[in-house]
Amino acid sequence: MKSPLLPFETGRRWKNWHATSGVGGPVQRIYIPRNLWSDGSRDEKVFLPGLAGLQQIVREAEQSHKRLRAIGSGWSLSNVAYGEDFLINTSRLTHWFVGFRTPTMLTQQFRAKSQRLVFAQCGVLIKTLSAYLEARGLSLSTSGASNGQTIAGAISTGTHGAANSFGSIQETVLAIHMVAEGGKHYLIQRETRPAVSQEFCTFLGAELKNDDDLFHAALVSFGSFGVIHGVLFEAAPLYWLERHVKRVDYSAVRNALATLDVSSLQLSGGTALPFHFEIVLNPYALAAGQGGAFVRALYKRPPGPTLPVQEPGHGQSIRSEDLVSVIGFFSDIAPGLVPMVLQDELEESFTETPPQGVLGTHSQQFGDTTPTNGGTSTEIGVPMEHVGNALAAILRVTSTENMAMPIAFRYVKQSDAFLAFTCFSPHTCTIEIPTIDSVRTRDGYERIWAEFRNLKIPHTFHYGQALPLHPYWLEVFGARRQSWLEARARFLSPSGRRMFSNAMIDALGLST
Amino acid sequence: MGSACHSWLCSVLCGAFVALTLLTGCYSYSYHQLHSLPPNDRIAVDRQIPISETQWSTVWGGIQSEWTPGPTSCDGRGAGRVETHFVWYSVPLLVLTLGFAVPAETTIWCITDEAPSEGP
Repeated sequence: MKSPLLPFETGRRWKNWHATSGVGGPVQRIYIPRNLWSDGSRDEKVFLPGLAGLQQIVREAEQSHKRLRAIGSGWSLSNVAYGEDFLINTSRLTHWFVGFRTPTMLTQQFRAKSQRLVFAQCGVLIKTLSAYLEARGLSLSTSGASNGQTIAGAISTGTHGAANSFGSIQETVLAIHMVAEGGKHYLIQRETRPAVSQEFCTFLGAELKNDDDLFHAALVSFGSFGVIHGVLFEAAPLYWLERHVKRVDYSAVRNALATLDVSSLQLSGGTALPFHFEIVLNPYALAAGQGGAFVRALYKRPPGPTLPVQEPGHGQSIRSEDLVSVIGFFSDIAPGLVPMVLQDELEESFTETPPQGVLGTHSQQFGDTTPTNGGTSTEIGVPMEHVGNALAAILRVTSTENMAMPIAFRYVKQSDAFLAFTCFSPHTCTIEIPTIDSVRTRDGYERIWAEFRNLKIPHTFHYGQALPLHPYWLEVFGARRQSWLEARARFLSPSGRRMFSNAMIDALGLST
Repeated sequence: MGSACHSWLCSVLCGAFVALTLLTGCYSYSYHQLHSLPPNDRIAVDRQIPISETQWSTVWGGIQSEWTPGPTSCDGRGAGRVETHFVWYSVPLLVLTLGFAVPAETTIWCITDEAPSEGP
C-alpha cells in the first residue's frame, strides 16, 4: 500500500488573499496534499493520492486532538476558513473530469446529461473550470462576481452572483465527496434526486449516502461536516451574456430595489427581469441629478459562432469588477473626499454600455480580481419585503459620517441548502457593502448590524464576509438551522464535530 | 541654540533617510502568466505557497545571480507568477557599499491550472 506525499509547514502565519486585517493568524501546521504518492509517482486514478492524503490528515488530526480546516484560495473576508491547529492547503488538488463514459455510473435520469456532468477536486479554481468548460461548449450556470475561488470554497460559503432565476453556485451541485471521521469518505447526494449509482462510489472507493437532509446540510457547511475532496456538478450548455450598464438617479431605481419591477428602468429587455440584475448605490449621491445609482443587467443569449471580441475600456469593457477591488485604492484618510471619490470610482467601474450592450461568455463577464491589500466587505441577506427598511437602516449609519461604502443590491433565488444565507423565498436580496478595513469601517459595520437587529429586520450574513460573531442572527433560519444541527449530529460524533469546527463556528453556536 | 537645532535637524534627516530606505523594501515588480484559453485570465496559481529566494547582484551588476527552483517545487508545472522586490536592507546596503552589492528577493507561485480529463 503506497503512502501519499504529504508535506506540511509548521509555525506559519496564514492570511487571506485580500490581506484583510483580523483575518488569519498563526497556524501550527499547514498540510499540502498532492496527487502524488510519496515516491513521486502518480496513480492511474489521478485523484487517489490526494484523497489518501486527506484521509491521513484527518486521522492525524484525530490522534493529535486538533481542529482541522481546509482552505481554498483564501478568498473569504472572514475567518470562516481559518483555524489555529491544522489547515489543509487544497490548491494542489486540481484533478477534474468532464463527462461519464460509463452510463451505469449514473442514475437513469442523469444519463442524458452525462457529458455535462463535472467531477472536480476541491482545489480547482472557478476560472480554470470556466476556461476549459467554455472551450468545450459548456458553461458554469452561475458564479460570484469574480473567479478566483476554489470550487469547494465557493460552494461551502454559499458564493453567489445575481442569477435571480437560478440561485447560488451550490445549486449546481449534485453530489459531495466528503472525507470525515476516521478518514472514511462518503459520496453524499439527494435521495430524491440521485445523480450517481453505487458503481461510481465503488470507483471512488466511497460509501454512498442518499440522504436529502444530509445533502442539504453539508452543501453550505463551511467545512463543518469534514473535508470536501470533490464535488459533482452539472454544467450548462454554453450561453453568452449581454451586459447593459446604466447610471440613473436613485429615484429611478427606488421601486425596483424592493419589487424587482424593472419596467420603469427602460432596460433593453423591457419589463422582463434580466438573468442577472444588480443595483449599486452611492449613499452620498442619492439626490435628483446626482446619478448615484448604477444598474447592471445581463441577459442570456445563444452563443454565436465565434467568441465575442474583448475591447477593454471606453465603455466597451466586458470585464466585471469585484467591488472590493473597485474601491481598493482609497481609505478613510480623507473622509471629506469620500462622496466624490466614491462616485468617480463607481462611474469608472460601471461604465455605461452602448445601446446594443456588450456580449461575452460567462467568464468574460465575471473575470479576474486583483488583491486589494486590506479589502473587506459585509453582505446581508434580507427578504424582499424588508429591502426598503434595510436600506434606510444602512443610510442612517452612512449619513452620520462619510464612509467609503457603496451599497450593492443583488437578488438570488432561495437555496435548498439549510444554512445558505440566501434562504428567503422566493428571493433573497443580498446587500453587499465593500470597503477597506479600518477602525472606521469596523465601527460602521457594527452600527449597521445593530440597526438591523434593533429594527428587527429579518436578515442573514454571508459567511465569507465580515459578520457578527454571535448566534443571534441565525435564529432567522428557524427549523432549517435545527435540521442542519441534527444532520451534523447524525453524521459526526461529538469529537468529530469539535474537530471540524473553528472559533467562528463556535461563536455562531454551530459547533455543538 | 544653533548646535541643538543642528542636532535636531540631523536626527530628523537621519530618521527620514532610514525610514525611506527601509520603505523601499515595499517596491515590487511582478509577472503573471495568462491562460492560453479565452478569456485569457491570469493563470491559476497556488496562492498559499510563495517560494522565495534572496539573490545578490554584486560588482555594480557585473555579477548577477540566477535562481532555479528545484524540479519538484511546482510538481513539474512551473511558475505562473513571479515577483521581485527589494528587501528591507537593499537600499541601506546599496548606500553603504556604494552600489557594490544589492540584494533582492524573488518569489514564485506555482501553476495549479489543470485541463480536465475524460470521465470514467
